[in-house]
Amino acid sequence: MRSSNVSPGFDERWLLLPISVLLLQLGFLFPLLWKASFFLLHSAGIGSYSPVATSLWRLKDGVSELLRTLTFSAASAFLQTSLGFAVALFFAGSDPDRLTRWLSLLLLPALVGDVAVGFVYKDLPVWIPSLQQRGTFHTWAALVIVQTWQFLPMCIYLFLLRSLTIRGNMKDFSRISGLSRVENVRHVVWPHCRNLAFVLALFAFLQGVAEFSKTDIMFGASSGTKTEMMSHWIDTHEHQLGENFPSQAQDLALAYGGILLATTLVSSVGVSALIILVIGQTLKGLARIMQTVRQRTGPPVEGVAVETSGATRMRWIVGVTAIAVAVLPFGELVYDLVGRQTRVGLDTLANGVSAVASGLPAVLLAAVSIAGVTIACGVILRLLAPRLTEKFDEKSLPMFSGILLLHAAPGVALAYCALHWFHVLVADPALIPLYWLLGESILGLSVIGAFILYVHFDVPSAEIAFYRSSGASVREAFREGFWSRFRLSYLLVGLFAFSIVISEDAISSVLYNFVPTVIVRLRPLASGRGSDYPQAAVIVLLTIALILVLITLWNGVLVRSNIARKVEN
Amino acid sequence: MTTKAKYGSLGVVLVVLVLAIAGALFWFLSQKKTTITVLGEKLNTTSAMESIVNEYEKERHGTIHVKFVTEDYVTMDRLASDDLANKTAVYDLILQYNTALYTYVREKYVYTLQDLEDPNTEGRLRLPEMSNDVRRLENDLFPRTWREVGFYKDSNGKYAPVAIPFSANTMLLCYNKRLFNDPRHRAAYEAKYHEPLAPPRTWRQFENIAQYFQNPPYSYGLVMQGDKYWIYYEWVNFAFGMGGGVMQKDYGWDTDATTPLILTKPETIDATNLYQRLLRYNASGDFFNTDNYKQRDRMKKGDVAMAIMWSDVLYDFVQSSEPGKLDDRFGFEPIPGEKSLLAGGSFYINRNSKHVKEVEDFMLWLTEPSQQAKLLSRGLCSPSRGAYDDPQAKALPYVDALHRSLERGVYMMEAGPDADAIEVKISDELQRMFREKLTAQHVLTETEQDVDATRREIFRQLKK
Repeated sequence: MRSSNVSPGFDERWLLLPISVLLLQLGFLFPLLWKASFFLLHSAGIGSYSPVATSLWRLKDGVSELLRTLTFSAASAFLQTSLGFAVALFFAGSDPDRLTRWLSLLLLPALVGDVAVGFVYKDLPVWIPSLQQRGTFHTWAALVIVQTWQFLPMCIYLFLLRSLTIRGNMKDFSRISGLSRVENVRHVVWPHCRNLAFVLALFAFLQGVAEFSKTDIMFGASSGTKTEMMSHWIDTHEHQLGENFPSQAQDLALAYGGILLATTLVSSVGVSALIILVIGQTLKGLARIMQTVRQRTGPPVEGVAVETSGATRMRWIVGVTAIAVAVLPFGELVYDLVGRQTRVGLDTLANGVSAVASGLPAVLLAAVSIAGVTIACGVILRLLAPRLTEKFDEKSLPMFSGILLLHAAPGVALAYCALHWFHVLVADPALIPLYWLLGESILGLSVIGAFILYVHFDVPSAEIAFYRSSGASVREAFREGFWSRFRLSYLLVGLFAFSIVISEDAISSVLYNFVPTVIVRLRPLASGRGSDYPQAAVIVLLTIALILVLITLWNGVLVRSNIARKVEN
Repeated sequence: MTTKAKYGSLGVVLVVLVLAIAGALFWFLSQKKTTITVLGEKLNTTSAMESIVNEYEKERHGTIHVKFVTEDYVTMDRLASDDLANKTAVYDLILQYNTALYTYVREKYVYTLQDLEDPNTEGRLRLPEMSNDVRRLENDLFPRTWREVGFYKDSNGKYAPVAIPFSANTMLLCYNKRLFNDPRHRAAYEAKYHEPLAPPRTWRQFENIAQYFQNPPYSYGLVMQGDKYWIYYEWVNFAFGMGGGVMQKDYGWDTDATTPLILTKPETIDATNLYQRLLRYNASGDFFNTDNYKQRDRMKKGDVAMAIMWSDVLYDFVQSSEPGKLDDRFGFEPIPGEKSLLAGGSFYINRNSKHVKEVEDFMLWLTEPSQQAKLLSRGLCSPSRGAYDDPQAKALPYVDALHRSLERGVYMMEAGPDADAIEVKISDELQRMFREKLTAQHVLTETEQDVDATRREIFRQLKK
C-alpha cells in the first residue's frame, strides 16, 4: 500500500467501466424501451404511435398466460428459496468434509440449461398419465416441480456455502448462550443468509418469467392445451403476425416485451420481499413455539454447535438424498439410449463431440469476458460507491433491478433487440460472432452482476474507508480486500457465466448457426420435425460430462483453499 | 553504420514489409471464394442437397462455396422473415414452403421468375440459360404441385409461376406389413367386417382397421399427431379427403376476404367426428405432444397398424438400424379416398443477395434431371416427374406411393396471408375439442366464426 502521506481516495475514473457497461445494457435494450413507451403512451391516448396490426394481436388476450406465468414464477421462487434454506440448515454449523465436496454436484441441473432439462423430462406426461389430458392445475404444478428440481439444488448449495462463512465467534455465541436449534437459525443463520435469499428469490422469479424451452419440450406449449407461458404467447403471436406484417410484429413483440419486463421488475421485487418476510415470520413463530416448549421441559441438554453422531448421520442421509434427486434423473438419458435398441454408432458420438467441442473456445472466451468484466465492475462499485453497495435497502434495490433488467425481458424481445442492432450497425455475417459475444456478455452481466454485488456485501464499509484513507489504489484494495477473500466466489461466477453462455438461446436464435454453441446444435435435435433423440441424448450427456469436469475443478480449488479454516481464523 | 542510416534501412524494410503484407492480402482477397448461404428446414430434403454440394463445387472449379444453414421449421421461418424484412442479406437462397409465398411476393422480398427471365427488369442478373431451363421444367414438374407451391397471380390477375419448386410433399398412409400379412388377423378381420384385410382405400375401412387392431398391449390401431400445428396437418387429410375442408378454392394461396369457409359443411363435421372417434385407437402415450418425430418413433416399435405420415420424413423412417439396409416392415399407400394433400416448397432468391447469378446457377444445377434422381434416392421428395423413373429411387419403399399421391394431389393446406392464423386457430380448437371433450359441431361452428373475423381483419389491414 502507498504511504499515508498520499492524498486519500480512489481514482474516480475507474467508475467509467461500470457506467459504460450499464450504458451498453441500456443501449442494447433501447429498442424495447422505446417501443414499449410509445405503445403505452398511445394506449393512454397520447401520441400517434399505432401499429396497423394491433387489432390482430391484443394485449388483453394474454391475461391468462400472464397470470399463469406470474403464479408459476412466484410459486417456484418461493419453493426454491424456502426449501433451499431449510435443506441447507442440515449442513449449517458443520465443518466442510467429504460430503461438502460431493454436494457440489447439486449445481449440475442448473448448469446444464433449460433445453437439456426439458429433454430429460420430455416423457413426463407418458410417465404420469394424469398429465396427458393437460388439466390446467396438473400441468402448472408439474412445471413448478421440474423448475424447482432444476434450481433448488443450486439454492441448497449456495446457502450451504454461505452458512460455512458464519464466523467462529458467532458459533461461540450460540454455544455459550445455549440457543436452541431454531433460535440459532433465527438469530444467527437466517440474518447471515437473508441477503442471499433475496437474490435467489429474485433470480428464481425472473428465471420463471423467462421460462420457454421446458414447457415447449415437455408439453408442446399451446393455447389449445392451456400450457402457454407469456414467452410462448409473444412468440406465437409474433410469428403469426410476422407472416404479413414483419416489422409491425417486431414492434409489437418489443412493446409487449417491454410491458412484460416492467411488470416483472415490479412484481419480482415485491414477491422476493414477500418470500423473505414469510420465511422470517415462520422462523419467528417456530422460535416462539420452541420457547414455550422449553419453558415446560427445561433448557436443552447441549448447545447447537455440538454435532452429535445422529446429526452427522442425518446430514449424510439428507446430503446423499439431495445429490441422488439432483443427478439420477439424468440417468433417463442413458436408459433411453439403451432402451431404444438403436445402435449409437461412432458417427453419433463423433457428431456429439463435434457439437460440444466446436463452440467451446467461443464459449470459454465469452464466459471469461463476462466473468472478468462483471467482477471488475463489482469491485469498482463496492470501492467507489460503498454506501450504494453495502446491503439491500431502498438505495441499492433500484440498482439491482436495473442490473437484472435484461434477465427480465422475454427471449423473443431480446432477440429483436439483437437483430435491431445487427441491422443498424454492420450487417456483415462475418461480424456475427462479435454481436453474439456482445449480446451474451450483456445478458450474462445481468445475472452474475447481481450475484457479485451481493458477494461483496461481505466487505465492511469501514474496511473500504480504511483503504481509502490509507491512500491505497483500486488495484491494491482489490488485492488486499477482495481477491484473497472471494477468489472462490469468482470461480463460481465463472462457472455460472459458462452455464449461461452454453444454454442461452435468445441471442443464439437470431445469430443461429454462425456461432456454433451447443444450444444451437441441440435445440432442433430435441424438438421439431428434424428431431434426433439419440443424437440429442449424446450431446446432453457430453455437456453433462463437460460440466462435471468444471465442477471437479471447482471442488479442487475449494478443498485447497480450505475455506473453513480460513473463516475460523 | 550511422544512426541515420540505421533508421533509413529500417524504414525501407518496414515499407517493403507493409507492401508485402498488402500484396498478400490483396492476392488473398482476390482469390476468395464466393459463398452462397442457403437457409432451409433441418430435414432429409436439405441433407440430400448438402450431400451433393461437393460435386457442384468441384464442377465450378472451387470458385463457389455453398453453405447450408438448417433449422427446425419455426426457427427457419423466423430467420428468413427477419433477414428479408430487415434486408440484412445473411441468406442468399431460402428453401421455403408455400405458406410464405404470398408475403415474399407481395413484399418484393425475393426475385420472381419473371424478374429473373425479363431482360429489361433486373436484366443484369439474368443467366442466358434461365428461360430454357424454365421451359424444361414446365414439361418435367408435377403440374399441380408447381401451381400449389410456386404460382401466384400476376398484375393482370392471371396465374403465373413465380418460383421453382425444390420439393413436393404430401402425406402417405404407412401400414405395418407384419400385422396386415398375419394370416390369423386376415381371417379374423374378414370374418368380422366381411372384406379382406388390406391397406384401406376408404375412410370407413380406415376406421374399421384401426378398431380391429386396437388390442393393447399386443397391438394398436394407429398413431395420431396431436401436437400444435401437427394436429391441423393431420386433420386436413380427413376433412378434405371426405369432401369437406376449410375453404372453397383451388389453391392454398388463392384467397381473399370473400373466399367461402366450409368448416361447418356437413362433410367437414362428419370427418371431424371420425377424427375424434379415432382417438380411442390411438397408441401414442401423450397425444397432445405427439409430433411427426414421435409418431415415427412409436411406429418403429412395430405394434401399431397404421399412421398418416409426412412424406419428407420417410427416408429416415425406412432406414434400418443396420447400415445400408432398408427397414422392410412397413408398406406405403396414398391416404384413403380419391385425393391427397399437396405441399412443398420453392427456391426463393433474396432480393438483397450479393450473389444472385451464382445462386441462380446453383438452383438450376439442382433442378437438372440427373441431380433430381440422385436427390430423390437420398431423401428429397422431388417435384420432378422424371426422377421417379430412376431405378435407385424406386428401390425406396415409399416412392411409388409418393408418385401416385402427387399425381392426384390437391389443395388442402392454407398458403395465403391468413394461413398461419387459420392453422393456429384450427390447431388450438381441435386440441380444445379433445381436451374438453366437446362436440365437433360446436367446435367447428365457433372456429368458423373466429376464423371469419380474423380473416376479415387481416385483409382489411392488408388493404391499408
